[in-house]
Amino acid sequence: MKKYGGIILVGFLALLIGLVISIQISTTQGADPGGLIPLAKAQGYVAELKKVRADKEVILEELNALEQQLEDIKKSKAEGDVVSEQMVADLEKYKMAAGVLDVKGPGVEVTIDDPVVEVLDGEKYSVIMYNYELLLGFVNKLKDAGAEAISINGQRIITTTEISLAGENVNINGVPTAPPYIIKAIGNPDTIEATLTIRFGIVEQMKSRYSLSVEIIKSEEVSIPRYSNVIAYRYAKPVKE
Amino acid sequence: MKKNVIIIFVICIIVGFFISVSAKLVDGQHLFVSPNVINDLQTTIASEKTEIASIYKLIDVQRQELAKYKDTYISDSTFSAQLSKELESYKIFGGAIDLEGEGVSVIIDDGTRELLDGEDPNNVLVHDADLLMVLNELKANGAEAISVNGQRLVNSSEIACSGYSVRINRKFYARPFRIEAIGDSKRMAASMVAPESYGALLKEYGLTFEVKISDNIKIPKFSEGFNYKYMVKSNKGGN
Repeated sequence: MKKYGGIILVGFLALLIGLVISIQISTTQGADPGGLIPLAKAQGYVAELKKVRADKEVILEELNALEQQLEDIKKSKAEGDVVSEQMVADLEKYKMAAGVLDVKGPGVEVTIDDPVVEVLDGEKYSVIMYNYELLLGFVNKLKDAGAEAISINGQRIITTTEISLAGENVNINGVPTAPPYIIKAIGNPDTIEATLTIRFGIVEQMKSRYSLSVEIIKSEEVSIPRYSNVIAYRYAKPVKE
Repeated sequence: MKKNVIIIFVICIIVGFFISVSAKLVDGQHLFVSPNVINDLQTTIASEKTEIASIYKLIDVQRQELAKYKDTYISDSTFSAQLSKELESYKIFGGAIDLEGEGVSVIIDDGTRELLDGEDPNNVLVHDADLLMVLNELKANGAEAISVNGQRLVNSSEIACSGYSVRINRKFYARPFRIEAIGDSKRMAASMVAPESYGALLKEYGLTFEVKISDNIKIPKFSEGFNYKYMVKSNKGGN
């Protein structure tokens, strides 16, 4: 008996360790690890997003090429005719005013994100989305500081742009958006930054009252995309003289 | 024999320790993300897909335009007629032409009720945030052109509260505020008076909030020039 004592002990230990391992693994791969989702799934979405964005780039290039072609035709046809030449020049000016041209210039880039610690009770909850009036106020402050062009997450802000809570998303130009919110504005970078960061101003309020993270970066060149929907007015008509 | 058992025992403990360490590593928070991240990613993907759909529409429009202009036999007069039509439409969108059409007019004024004991007077005053919320609701309900106290709102129009007055397009206005919007008048009016609307909230606070439907709303053009100091046309889009 004494001869096998050691082997039995080792066997017992091995069994115990095996058990511990299996418990460990089953806790690790539990069906519901605290409402969390495996990273692999998130990476899948990241990859999909990348692909969709690449697709968008391609068709945007197509659109830009078409526009360029059209412009060249107009320019060459208008050549020599003063009235037409003026019209072609005006066209660009008013297209810019309407927000249907990609633009660039000095300005700021602001990133607004939810607090790191979230109210987590199974529900998803985004401070910045449920307080979308902060975005409205923010855009208004940018305009007040003389911003000439503004975009939020790639959505150009034009006169008819709404920022509204639709279901669980904030829609801008009818397009659903999600945090982090990247707001770009073209204008005097110093004026804009100073307007935003004034004491008791909007940024301070966002930080202290809503614990949002707000980061403002001044930049020599900010690129802002065009308004990407077809604009068509059904009700408003020019006043006939 | 006994020595062997002890060695094996020690090895087993070490192995067990390593296994538990490695299992812990797998459990690390880096390998899991919160559902919010997934939701945000899904929303962003959906938004990019909406964008792609609208860009395709824009491409269609451009193709049609191109077809119109590409015709080599196009006469000079047709060309200039096309050009001036296109110019007019962008002047409309940009705010450089007086517009008229059906729509609503909304009047917002400070409340006249007595304040409650110790109540903040701000509760019965109109602020820029109130105007922004009402305007936003109008835009969400299809307003095509909007003016506030006769100032046409354009892309860069600000509404800034400064003491007793509000600044719109760099000009000062005081109460009452008269908003006029051209668009689907019934839809806009319904959104203004809906129980969950911002207007209903203002009324609850005791402010004056009146909505009128009109067949003929006139909205003046933006009176300043469209001169930009900072932005220039770029050929590549930014995101």
